[in-house]
Amino acid sequence: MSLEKFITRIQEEFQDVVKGTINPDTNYREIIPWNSMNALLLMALIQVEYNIELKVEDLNSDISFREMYQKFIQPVE
Amino acid sequence: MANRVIHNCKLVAVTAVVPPTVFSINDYLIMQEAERKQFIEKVGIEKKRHVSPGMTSGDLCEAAANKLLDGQKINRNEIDALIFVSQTRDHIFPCTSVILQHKLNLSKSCLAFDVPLGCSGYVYGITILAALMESGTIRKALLLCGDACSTTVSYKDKTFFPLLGDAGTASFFEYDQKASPIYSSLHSDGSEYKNLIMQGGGFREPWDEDVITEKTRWDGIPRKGYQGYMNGMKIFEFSLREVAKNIKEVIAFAGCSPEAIDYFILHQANLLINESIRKQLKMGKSKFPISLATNGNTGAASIPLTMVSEMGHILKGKKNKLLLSGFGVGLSWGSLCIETNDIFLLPVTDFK
Repeated sequence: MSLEKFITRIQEEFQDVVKGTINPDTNYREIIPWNSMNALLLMALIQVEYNIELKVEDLNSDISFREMYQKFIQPVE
Repeated sequence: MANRVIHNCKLVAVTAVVPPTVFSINDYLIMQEAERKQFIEKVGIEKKRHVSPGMTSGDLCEAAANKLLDGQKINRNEIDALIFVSQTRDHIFPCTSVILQHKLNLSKSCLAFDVPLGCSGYVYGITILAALMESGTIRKALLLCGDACSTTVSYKDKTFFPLLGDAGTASFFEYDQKASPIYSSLHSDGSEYKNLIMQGGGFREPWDEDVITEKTRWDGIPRKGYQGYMNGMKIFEFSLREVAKNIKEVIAFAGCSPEAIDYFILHQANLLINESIRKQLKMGKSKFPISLATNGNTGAASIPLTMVSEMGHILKGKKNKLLLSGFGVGLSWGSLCIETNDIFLLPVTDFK
Protein backbone atom coordinates (compact mmCIF):
# COMPACT_ATOMS: atom_id res chain seq x y z
CA MET A 1 0.00 0.00 0.00
CA SER A 2 1.57 3.20 -1.17
CA LEU A 3 1.18 6.60 0.46
CA GLU A 4 -0.98 7.63 -2.49
CA LYS A 5 -3.34 4.69 -1.94
CA PHE A 6 -3.49 5.46 1.77
CA ILE A 7 -4.46 9.06 0.99
CA THR A 8 -7.10 7.86 -1.48
CA ARG A 9 -8.55 5.57 1.17
CA ILE A 10 -8.67 8.46 3.66
CA GLN A 11 -10.40 10.60 1.04
CA GLU A 12 -13.03 7.87 0.47
CA GLU A 13 -13.71 7.32 4.16
CA PHE A 14 -14.05 11.00 4.97
CA GLN A 15 -15.51 12.21 1.69
CA ASP A 16 -18.36 14.01 3.45
CA VAL A 17 -16.12 16.08 5.68
CA VAL A 18 -12.83 16.59 3.85
CA LYS A 19 -12.76 19.77 1.81
CA GLY A 20 -10.54 19.87 -1.25
CA THR A 21 -7.53 17.71 -1.92
CA ILE A 22 -5.50 16.13 0.84
CA ASN A 23 -1.89 17.27 0.90
CA PRO A 24 0.23 14.44 2.38
CA ASP A 25 2.25 16.92 4.40
CA THR A 26 -0.71 18.58 6.10
CA ASN A 27 -1.51 17.86 9.73
CA TYR A 28 -4.40 15.40 9.50
CA ARG A 29 -6.36 17.24 12.17
CA GLU A 30 -6.52 20.29 9.92
CA ILE A 31 -8.13 18.23 7.17
CA ILE A 32 -10.46 15.99 9.14
CA PRO A 33 -12.68 17.86 11.62
CA TRP A 34 -11.39 16.46 14.89
CA ASN A 35 -14.06 14.89 17.06
CA SER A 36 -14.52 11.50 18.69
CA MET A 37 -16.47 10.08 15.74
CA ASN A 38 -13.82 10.94 13.16
CA ALA A 39 -11.09 9.71 15.49
CA LEU A 40 -12.86 6.34 15.73
CA LEU A 41 -13.31 6.17 11.97
CA LEU A 42 -9.63 6.87 11.38
CA MET A 43 -8.62 4.34 14.00
CA ALA A 44 -10.91 1.70 12.45
CA LEU A 45 -9.52 2.38 9.00
CA ILE A 46 -5.88 1.98 10.03
CA GLN A 47 -6.37 -0.82 12.53
CA VAL A 48 -8.79 -3.04 10.63
CA GLU A 49 -7.73 -2.52 7.03
CA TYR A 50 -4.00 -2.66 7.70
CA ASN A 51 -4.16 -5.07 10.66
CA ILE A 52 -2.20 -2.68 12.86
CA GLU A 53 -2.78 -2.54 16.60
CA LEU A 54 -3.13 1.14 17.41
CA LYS A 55 -3.42 2.83 20.75
CA VAL A 56 -5.46 5.97 21.32
CA GLU A 57 -2.24 7.79 22.21
CA ASP A 58 -0.93 7.09 18.71
CA LEU A 59 -3.54 9.44 17.30
CA ASN A 60 -3.09 12.13 19.92
CA SER A 61 -0.26 13.90 18.18
CA ASP A 62 -0.17 16.52 15.47
CA ILE A 63 1.34 14.64 12.56
CA SER A 64 0.88 14.75 8.80
CA PHE A 65 -0.64 12.02 6.66
CA ARG A 66 2.84 11.22 5.38
CA GLU A 67 4.18 10.83 8.93
CA MET A 68 1.16 8.72 9.86
CA TYR A 69 1.82 6.45 6.89
CA GLN A 70 5.53 6.20 7.68
CA LYS A 71 4.95 5.56 11.38
CA PHE A 72 2.16 2.98 11.25
CA ILE A 73 1.69 1.49 7.81
CA GLN A 74 5.07 1.41 6.09
CA PRO A 75 6.73 -0.73 8.82
CA VAL A 76 4.25 -3.56 8.25
CA GLU A 77 4.14 -3.33 4.47
CA MET B 1 -8.82 -21.41 33.30
CA ALA B 2 -11.20 -19.10 31.49
CA ASN B 3 -12.14 -21.71 28.87
CA ARG B 4 -14.62 -24.41 29.71
CA VAL B 5 -17.03 -26.85 28.08
CA ILE B 6 -20.44 -27.39 29.68
CA HIS B 7 -22.78 -30.28 28.95
CA ASN B 8 -26.47 -31.07 29.42
CA CYS B 9 -27.87 -27.54 29.09
CA LYS B 10 -30.29 -26.64 26.31
CA LEU B 11 -31.47 -23.15 25.32
CA VAL B 12 -35.22 -23.60 24.78
CA ALA B 13 -36.83 -20.16 24.48
CA VAL B 14 -36.04 -16.43 24.33
CA THR B 15 -38.38 -13.43 24.59
CA ALA B 16 -37.84 -9.66 24.71
CA VAL B 17 -39.80 -6.61 25.82
CA VAL B 18 -38.99 -2.93 25.17
CA PRO B 19 -40.47 0.25 26.64
CA PRO B 20 -43.03 1.97 24.38
CA THR B 21 -41.30 5.39 24.33
CA VAL B 22 -39.31 5.87 21.13
CA PHE B 23 -36.35 8.27 21.09
CA SER B 24 -35.26 9.38 17.63
CA ILE B 25 -31.67 10.52 17.05
CA ASN B 26 -33.02 13.11 14.62
CA ASP B 27 -34.64 14.79 17.63
CA TYR B 28 -31.38 14.90 19.58
CA LEU B 29 -30.57 18.59 19.22
CA ILE B 30 -27.41 18.41 21.32
CA MET B 31 -25.87 17.24 18.04
CA GLN B 32 -25.73 19.40 14.93
CA GLU B 33 -27.63 18.12 11.91
CA ALA B 34 -24.45 16.92 10.18
CA GLU B 35 -23.38 15.09 13.35
CA ARG B 36 -26.75 13.36 13.59
CA LYS B 37 -26.52 12.26 9.98
CA GLN B 38 -23.01 10.90 10.48
CA PHE B 39 -24.03 9.21 13.74
CA ILE B 40 -26.99 7.42 12.15
CA GLU B 41 -24.88 6.28 9.21
CA LYS B 42 -21.70 5.24 11.00
CA VAL B 43 -22.92 4.23 14.47
CA GLY B 44 -26.02 2.62 13.01
CA ILE B 45 -28.55 3.85 15.57
CA GLU B 46 -31.57 5.77 14.33
CA LYS B 47 -34.06 5.12 17.11
CA LYS B 48 -34.07 3.51 20.51
CA ARG B 49 -36.44 2.84 23.36
CA HIS B 50 -36.39 4.60 26.72
CA VAL B 51 -38.03 3.64 29.99
CA SER B 52 -40.53 6.08 31.52
CA PRO B 53 -39.93 7.41 35.04
CA GLY B 54 -40.55 4.61 37.52
CA MET B 55 -40.06 1.83 34.97
CA THR B 56 -37.02 -0.41 35.54
CA SER B 57 -35.08 -3.14 33.82
CA GLY B 58 -36.61 -5.48 36.41
CA ASP B 59 -40.07 -4.54 35.12
CA LEU B 60 -39.05 -5.18 31.51
CA CYS B 61 -37.54 -8.56 32.38
CA GLU B 62 -40.58 -9.51 34.45
CA ALA B 63 -42.78 -8.84 31.40
CA ALA B 64 -40.43 -10.83 29.14
CA ALA B 65 -40.42 -13.74 31.62
CA ASN B 66 -44.21 -13.79 31.91
CA LYS B 67 -44.48 -13.82 28.14
CA LEU B 68 -42.07 -16.74 27.95
CA LEU B 69 -43.57 -18.77 30.80
CA ASP B 70 -47.12 -18.29 29.48
CA GLY B 71 -46.07 -18.90 25.88
CA GLN B 72 -44.31 -22.14 26.73
CA LYS B 73 -46.96 -23.13 29.30
CA ILE B 74 -44.24 -23.76 31.86
CA ASN B 75 -45.21 -24.77 35.38
CA ARG B 76 -43.73 -21.96 37.47
CA ASN B 77 -43.17 -24.30 40.41
CA GLU B 78 -40.65 -26.19 38.27
CA ILE B 79 -38.25 -23.24 37.83
CA ASP B 80 -35.22 -24.15 39.94
CA ALA B 81 -33.04 -21.10 39.29
CA LEU B 82 -33.32 -17.47 38.21
CA ILE B 83 -30.37 -15.24 37.38
CA PHE B 84 -30.89 -11.54 36.68
CA VAL B 85 -28.08 -9.82 34.79
CA SER B 86 -28.07 -6.03 34.76
CA GLN B 87 -26.14 -2.86 35.52
CA THR B 88 -29.39 -1.10 36.38
CA ARG B 89 -30.84 -3.25 39.13
CA ASP B 90 -33.93 -2.01 40.92
CA HIS B 91 -32.13 -1.50 44.24
CA ILE B 92 -28.60 -1.74 45.62
CA PHE B 93 -30.13 -4.41 47.85
CA PRO B 94 -31.93 -6.74 47.79
CA CYS B 95 -31.20 -8.54 44.54
CA THR B 96 -33.77 -7.85 41.84
CA SER B 97 -33.76 -11.58 41.03
CA VAL B 98 -35.19 -12.36 44.46
CA ILE B 99 -37.94 -9.76 44.00
CA LEU B 100 -38.68 -11.31 40.61
CA GLN B 101 -38.90 -14.78 42.17
CA HIS B 102 -41.89 -13.45 44.09
CA LYS B 103 -43.39 -11.33 41.30
CA LEU B 104 -43.20 -14.22 38.85
CA ASN B 105 -44.82 -16.53 41.39
CA LEU B 106 -41.91 -18.96 41.35
CA SER B 107 -41.29 -21.53 44.07
CA LYS B 108 -39.44 -20.53 47.25
CA SER B 109 -37.02 -23.35 46.48
CA CYS B 110 -35.89 -21.39 43.42
CA LEU B 111 -32.27 -20.26 43.63
CA ALA B 112 -32.00 -16.56 42.70
CA PHE B 113 -29.18 -14.05 42.47
CA ASP B 114 -28.03 -11.03 40.43
CA VAL B 115 -24.99 -10.68 38.23
CA PRO B 116 -24.14 -6.98 37.90
CA LEU B 117 -22.42 -7.17 34.53
CA GLY B 118 -23.26 -5.17 31.44
CA CYS B 119 -22.40 -5.85 27.84
CA SER B 120 -20.67 -9.18 28.55
CA GLY B 121 -23.57 -10.25 30.79
CA TYR B 122 -25.46 -12.63 28.51
CA VAL B 123 -22.37 -14.73 27.79
CA TYR B 124 -21.37 -14.73 31.46
CA GLY B 125 -24.97 -15.48 32.48
CA ILE B 126 -25.28 -18.50 30.18
CA THR B 127 -21.92 -19.84 31.37
CA ILE B 128 -22.82 -19.49 35.07
CA LEU B 129 -26.30 -20.93 34.63
CA ALA B 130 -25.17 -23.83 32.42
CA ALA B 131 -22.44 -24.71 34.93
CA LEU B 132 -25.07 -24.78 37.70
CA MET B 133 -27.34 -26.99 35.60
CA GLU B 134 -24.71 -29.41 34.31
CA SER B 135 -25.03 -31.92 37.16
CA GLY B 136 -28.81 -32.17 36.84
CA THR B 137 -29.83 -30.82 40.24
CA ILE B 138 -31.28 -27.78 38.48
CA ARG B 139 -33.59 -28.89 35.67
CA LYS B 140 -35.30 -25.69 34.50
CA ALA B 141 -33.99 -22.16 34.82
CA LEU B 142 -34.48 -18.56 33.71
CA LEU B 143 -31.78 -16.11 32.67
CA LEU B 144 -33.14 -12.57 32.68
CA CYS B 145 -30.93 -9.94 31.04
CA GLY B 146 -32.06 -6.35 30.95
CA ASP B 147 -30.83 -2.81 31.22
CA ALA B 148 -32.29 0.68 31.42
CA CYS B 149 -29.06 2.49 30.67
CA SER B 150 -30.79 5.54 29.19
CA THR B 151 -31.38 6.59 32.80
CA THR B 152 -27.70 6.44 33.71
CA VAL B 153 -26.19 9.09 31.44
CA SER B 154 -26.36 12.85 30.99
CA TYR B 155 -28.59 14.02 28.13
CA LYS B 156 -25.84 16.51 27.31
CA ASP B 157 -23.21 13.80 26.84
CA LYS B 158 -23.31 13.33 23.08
CA THR B 159 -20.56 10.71 23.13
CA PHE B 160 -22.61 8.39 25.32
CA PHE B 161 -26.29 9.33 25.58
CA PRO B 162 -27.29 8.66 21.94
CA LEU B 163 -25.93 5.11 22.13
CA LEU B 164 -28.01 3.70 24.95
CA GLY B 165 -31.43 2.07 24.73
CA ASP B 166 -33.48 0.01 27.16
CA ALA B 167 -34.81 -3.55 26.96
CA GLY B 168 -35.58 -6.63 29.03
CA THR B 169 -35.21 -10.26 27.93
CA ALA B 170 -35.87 -13.75 29.23
CA SER B 171 -34.10 -16.96 28.23
CA PHE B 172 -35.25 -20.38 29.37
CA PHE B 173 -32.87 -23.32 29.77
CA GLU B 174 -33.55 -27.00 30.44
CA TYR B 175 -31.38 -29.86 31.63
CA ASP B 176 -31.04 -32.17 28.63
CA GLN B 177 -28.44 -34.91 28.33
CA LYS B 178 -28.80 -34.76 24.55
CA ALA B 179 -27.92 -31.05 24.38
CA SER B 180 -24.79 -30.15 22.43
CA PRO B 181 -21.91 -28.91 24.60
CA ILE B 182 -21.51 -25.18 25.24
CA TYR B 183 -17.95 -23.92 24.80
CA SER B 184 -17.21 -20.75 26.73
CA SER B 185 -14.25 -18.40 27.10
CA LEU B 186 -14.50 -15.56 29.64
CA HIS B 187 -12.07 -12.75 30.42
CA SER B 188 -11.72 -9.63 32.56
CA ASP B 189 -9.31 -6.71 32.91
CA GLY B 190 -9.97 -4.27 35.74
CA SER B 191 -6.97 -2.11 34.89
CA GLU B 192 -9.18 -0.07 32.57
CA TYR B 193 -12.27 0.15 34.79
CA LYS B 194 -12.29 3.96 34.74
CA ASN B 195 -12.88 4.03 30.97
CA LEU B 196 -16.54 3.03 31.41
CA ILE B 197 -17.90 3.90 34.81
CA MET B 198 -20.69 5.34 36.90
CA GLN B 199 -18.35 7.01 39.35
CA GLY B 200 -20.54 8.39 42.12
CA GLY B 201 -23.42 7.03 44.16
CA GLY B 202 -21.78 3.78 45.22
CA PHE B 203 -19.85 3.13 48.39
CA ARG B 204 -16.50 4.41 47.06
CA GLU B 205 -18.03 7.82 46.38
CA PRO B 206 -21.28 7.94 48.39
CA TRP B 207 -24.16 10.32 47.71
CA ASP B 208 -23.22 13.91 48.47
CA GLU B 209 -23.65 17.35 46.93
CA ASP B 210 -21.14 16.66 44.17
CA VAL B 211 -22.84 13.44 43.15
CA ILE B 212 -26.24 15.09 42.64
CA THR B 213 -24.99 18.34 41.09
CA GLU B 214 -24.66 18.78 37.36
CA LYS B 215 -21.39 20.45 36.51
CA THR B 216 -18.87 20.40 33.73
CA ARG B 217 -16.53 17.55 34.55
CA TRP B 218 -12.85 17.12 33.72
CA ASP B 219 -13.64 15.96 30.15
CA GLY B 220 -15.66 19.10 29.42
CA ILE B 221 -19.03 17.35 29.51
CA PRO B 222 -21.76 18.47 31.92
CA ARG B 223 -22.98 15.59 34.05
CA LYS B 224 -23.98 14.69 37.57
CA GLY B 225 -21.54 12.64 39.60
CA TYR B 226 -23.71 9.54 39.44
CA GLN B 227 -24.09 9.66 35.67
CA GLY B 228 -22.02 7.37 33.48
CA TYR B 229 -18.78 8.28 31.73
CA MET B 230 -17.31 6.49 28.74
CA ASN B 231 -13.93 6.97 27.09
CA GLY B 232 -15.15 5.95 23.66
CA MET B 233 -11.70 5.82 22.08
CA LYS B 234 -10.35 3.53 24.79
CA ILE B 235 -13.38 1.23 24.61
CA PHE B 236 -13.00 1.08 20.85
CA GLU B 237 -9.30 0.28 21.23
CA PHE B 238 -10.15 -2.50 23.71
CA SER B 239 -12.86 -3.95 21.48
CA LEU B 240 -10.57 -4.15 18.47
CA ARG B 241 -7.73 -5.57 20.56
CA GLU B 242 -9.62 -8.31 22.39
CA VAL B 243 -12.94 -9.38 20.87
CA ALA B 244 -11.94 -10.98 17.55
CA LYS B 245 -9.07 -12.71 19.34
CA ASN B 246 -11.49 -14.09 21.96
CA ILE B 247 -13.92 -15.27 19.28
CA LYS B 248 -11.15 -17.12 17.46
CA GLU B 249 -10.01 -18.58 20.78
CA VAL B 250 -13.40 -20.09 21.63
CA ILE B 251 -13.99 -21.35 18.10
CA ALA B 252 -10.64 -23.17 18.22
CA PHE B 253 -11.48 -24.47 21.70
CA ALA B 254 -14.75 -25.85 20.32
CA GLY B 255 -12.76 -27.63 17.62
CA CYS B 256 -14.45 -25.94 14.70
CA SER B 257 -13.70 -23.18 12.21
CA PRO B 258 -15.20 -19.70 11.73
CA GLU B 259 -16.78 -20.95 8.51
CA ALA B 260 -18.69 -23.61 10.48
CA ILE B 261 -20.45 -20.96 12.57
CA ASP B 262 -23.90 -20.15 11.18
CA TYR B 263 -24.26 -16.78 12.94
CA PHE B 264 -22.07 -14.49 15.02
CA ILE B 265 -24.34 -12.63 17.44
CA LEU B 266 -22.26 -9.85 18.95
CA HIS B 267 -23.16 -7.47 21.71
CA GLN B 268 -24.65 -4.51 19.87
CA ALA B 269 -22.06 -1.91 20.88
CA ASN B 270 -22.25 0.28 17.81
CA LEU B 271 -22.04 -0.41 14.10
CA LEU B 272 -18.51 0.89 13.75
CA ILE B 273 -17.19 -1.48 16.43
CA ASN B 274 -19.25 -4.46 15.27
CA GLU B 275 -18.28 -3.96 11.63
CA SER B 276 -14.62 -3.60 12.58
CA ILE B 277 -14.74 -6.90 14.49
CA ARG B 278 -16.48 -8.58 11.55
CA LYS B 279 -13.77 -7.33 9.19
CA GLN B 280 -11.06 -8.56 11.58
CA LEU B 281 -12.68 -12.00 11.37
CA LYS B 282 -12.91 -11.72 7.56
CA MET B 283 -16.52 -12.90 7.54
CA GLY B 284 -19.50 -11.74 5.43
CA LYS B 285 -22.19 -9.39 6.68
CA SER B 286 -24.97 -11.96 6.34
CA LYS B 287 -23.69 -13.91 9.36
CA PHE B 288 -23.73 -10.88 11.66
CA PRO B 289 -27.28 -9.85 12.60
CA ILE B 290 -27.61 -6.23 13.74
CA SER B 291 -30.45 -4.75 15.82
CA LEU B 292 -28.90 -1.35 16.50
CA ALA B 293 -31.02 0.74 14.13
CA THR B 294 -34.19 0.53 16.20
CA ASN B 295 -32.87 -0.42 19.64
CA GLY B 296 -29.44 1.14 20.18
CA ASN B 297 -27.01 -0.44 22.62
CA THR B 298 -29.10 -2.19 25.26
CA GLY B 299 -26.27 -3.51 27.44
CA ALA B 300 -26.84 -6.98 28.85
CA ALA B 301 -30.03 -7.36 26.78
CA SER B 302 -28.51 -6.73 23.37
CA ILE B 303 -27.61 -10.31 22.35
CA PRO B 304 -30.94 -11.99 23.25
CA LEU B 305 -32.83 -8.95 21.90
CA THR B 306 -31.02 -9.37 18.58
CA MET B 307 -31.90 -13.07 18.53
CA VAL B 308 -35.58 -12.25 18.98
CA SER B 309 -35.82 -9.15 16.79
CA GLU B 310 -33.60 -10.20 13.87
CA MET B 311 -33.49 -14.00 13.88
CA GLY B 312 -36.97 -15.31 14.62
CA HIS B 313 -37.32 -17.02 11.25
CA ILE B 314 -33.78 -18.40 11.48
CA LEU B 315 -33.75 -19.85 14.97
CA LYS B 316 -37.20 -21.46 14.85
CA GLY B 317 -37.44 -25.01 13.55
CA LYS B 318 -33.76 -25.39 12.67
CA LYS B 319 -30.39 -26.33 14.06
CA ASN B 320 -27.87 -23.49 14.23
CA LYS B 321 -24.34 -23.19 15.48
CA LEU B 322 -24.13 -19.77 17.11
CA LEU B 323 -21.22 -17.73 18.33
CA LEU B 324 -22.24 -15.24 21.02
CA SER B 325 -19.82 -12.54 22.12
CA GLY B 326 -20.25 -9.84 24.76
CA PHE B 327 -17.75 -7.13 25.68
CA GLY B 328 -17.66 -3.86 27.57
CA VAL B 329 -17.89 -2.41 31.07
CA GLY B 330 -15.45 -3.89 33.55
CA LEU B 331 -13.65 -4.33 31.34
CA SER B 332 -15.21 -7.73 30.86
CA TRP B 333 -15.60 -9.88 27.76
CA GLY B 334 -16.43 -13.40 26.72
CA SER B 335 -17.60 -15.57 23.86
CA LEU B 336 -19.35 -18.89 23.62
CA CYS B 337 -20.27 -21.47 21.00
CA ILE B 338 -23.73 -22.94 21.39
CA GLU B 339 -25.70 -25.21 19.10
CA THR B 340 -29.41 -24.49 19.16
CA ASN B 341 -32.30 -26.51 17.80
CA ASP B 342 -35.69 -24.90 17.25
CA ILE B 343 -35.71 -22.09 19.82
CA PHE B 344 -39.14 -20.79 20.84
CA LEU B 345 -39.30 -17.07 20.04
CA LEU B 346 -42.09 -14.51 20.08
CA PRO B 347 -41.87 -11.09 18.40
CA VAL B 348 -40.52 -8.23 20.51
CA THR B 349 -43.40 -6.49 22.27
CA ASP B 350 -43.86 -3.13 23.98
CA PHE B 351 -44.08 -3.02 27.75
CA LYS B 352 -47.62 -2.35 29.00
